[in-house]
Amino acid sequence: MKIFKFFVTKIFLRKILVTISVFALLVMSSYVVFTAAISVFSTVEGKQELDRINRSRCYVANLDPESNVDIDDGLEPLAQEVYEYLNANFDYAFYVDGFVVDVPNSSGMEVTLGYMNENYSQLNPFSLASGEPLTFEHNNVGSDVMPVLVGKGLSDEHPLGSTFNIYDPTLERDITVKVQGILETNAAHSNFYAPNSKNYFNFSIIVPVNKDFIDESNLDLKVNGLFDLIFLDTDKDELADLGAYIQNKLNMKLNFYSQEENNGYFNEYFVSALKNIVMIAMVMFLVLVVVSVWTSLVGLRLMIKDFTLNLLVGLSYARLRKVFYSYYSLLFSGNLVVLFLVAACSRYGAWQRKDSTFATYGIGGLISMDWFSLLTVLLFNIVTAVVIVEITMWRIKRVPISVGVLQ
Amino acid sequence: MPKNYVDAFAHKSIMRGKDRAELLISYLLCFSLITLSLYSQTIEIKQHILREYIKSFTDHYVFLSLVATLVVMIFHYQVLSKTKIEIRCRVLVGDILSRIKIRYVAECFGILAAAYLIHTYLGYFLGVKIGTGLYLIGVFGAYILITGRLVKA
Repeated sequence: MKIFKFFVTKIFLRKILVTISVFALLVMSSYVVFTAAISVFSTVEGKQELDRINRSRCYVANLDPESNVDIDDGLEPLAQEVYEYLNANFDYAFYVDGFVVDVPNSSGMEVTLGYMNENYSQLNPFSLASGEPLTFEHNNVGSDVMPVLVGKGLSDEHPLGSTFNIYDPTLERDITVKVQGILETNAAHSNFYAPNSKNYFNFSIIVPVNKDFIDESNLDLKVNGLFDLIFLDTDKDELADLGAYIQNKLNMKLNFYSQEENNGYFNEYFVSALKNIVMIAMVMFLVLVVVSVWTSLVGLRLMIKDFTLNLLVGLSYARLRKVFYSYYSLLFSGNLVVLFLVAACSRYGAWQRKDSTFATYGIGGLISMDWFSLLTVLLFNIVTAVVIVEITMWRIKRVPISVGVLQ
Repeated sequence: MPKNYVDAFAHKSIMRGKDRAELLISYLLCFSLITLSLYSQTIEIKQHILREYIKSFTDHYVFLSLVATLVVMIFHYQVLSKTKIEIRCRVLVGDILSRIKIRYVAECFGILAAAYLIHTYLGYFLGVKIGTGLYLIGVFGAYILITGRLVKA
């Protein structure tokens, strides 16, 4: 310990420029690895969820980018007819979210509503921290209490079993809801066409919908619900008829993609992109490691007299190696702290902006994906340390002690 | 005669071939950060996560290239440390300190000019706007002049 302190204060820190440069290069190489790891982990997590939805004989609807959508109130009876046709001919999973509702909470976050039907809850269920899954037999007419799931952020003010009133923006009236279940912390859904991007449900309320609910709801829910419908156990011909029907009634073009088409899309846009990201990250990491090694060797050239003097008076090579490893461990710890702060700031940013779709809970503000990425960075740092220290030791051993001392 | 001058210059310089190569590579590293960042902004990337990933670096290319100049600073620092004794000996055998300084500064500027030409040519070849990276020349020029002043026996 004493030797280590002596080396750090009397030798390494004397050449502060070298220390700062090596630290800056380490931070840059770690940041490259960190951001690549986050991209990979978040896409893989999202893909795992989407594989549950993207099954054989399931088709996912998608609004054609060139289709105009006129939300005109006159369309409401036509939209209703579309749903009658759907109910008669298809088994579909319905999910829409993003509707804002006024539910005061201690974090001051905007609360959003998510609407899902029974098929969707079986296809892509929410994990619950406590309570029961939703039931879908409620009757909206009258003063029936509707079971809902609430996110972690709302569970303190609205615990399991409590009831409260909300103004539902799609039914355009007040409803009484009862908390049937609490979503697990950081429950999330990924965007189907961007599995790396997630919406978190810590400040959301999930409302069960059934046929009656959709019938009573306004045009907003009906039309938005169509854009992301998932059709279970059907084929292209039936969907072609549906597409023509919707085009006829609502003048909107919907496309329907099969499991194979969706997999093709993921492979083209995400698998190849991830491979490129990993490759670019590796190339940048290698370049930065080479530059770090060069900088460390330059530092060594400047400090060689101090090292060889110590070797002359009895410091063993093994002890010196330990000193180097401890020194680089210190640098890497500082590096991990910097990365931790960067990640924590970006997670905390969502809370500051009161952005409920990205607000997450976690140890130190970081979620599991962030911790895995930091672990990956740590592994790369260990590899970098080994490379730098072994090259440095090899270089020191090449210099005869007498030559080093006299320099 | 020109040949003799060049020979004389190279022989009397305090920088070795290895040092010149290291300096050239360091300059090119910093300039290439700019070229590659600007080039990646011109190519069309279909996949948005790849685009976002690359953008997270190339958006800050000015800051990154300035951090990379630390490498050049280290180079100058180590050349000065390394050649203290050599300069002392040269002064002892009759060379003039101011001439040593001028030779050093001129050589560094020469290598900087070569690096900038390579960067401009590469940029032109890749379709990047010419004239980017001039701020780096200012930074490197400042390093050369400051370290030139610090050359002492």
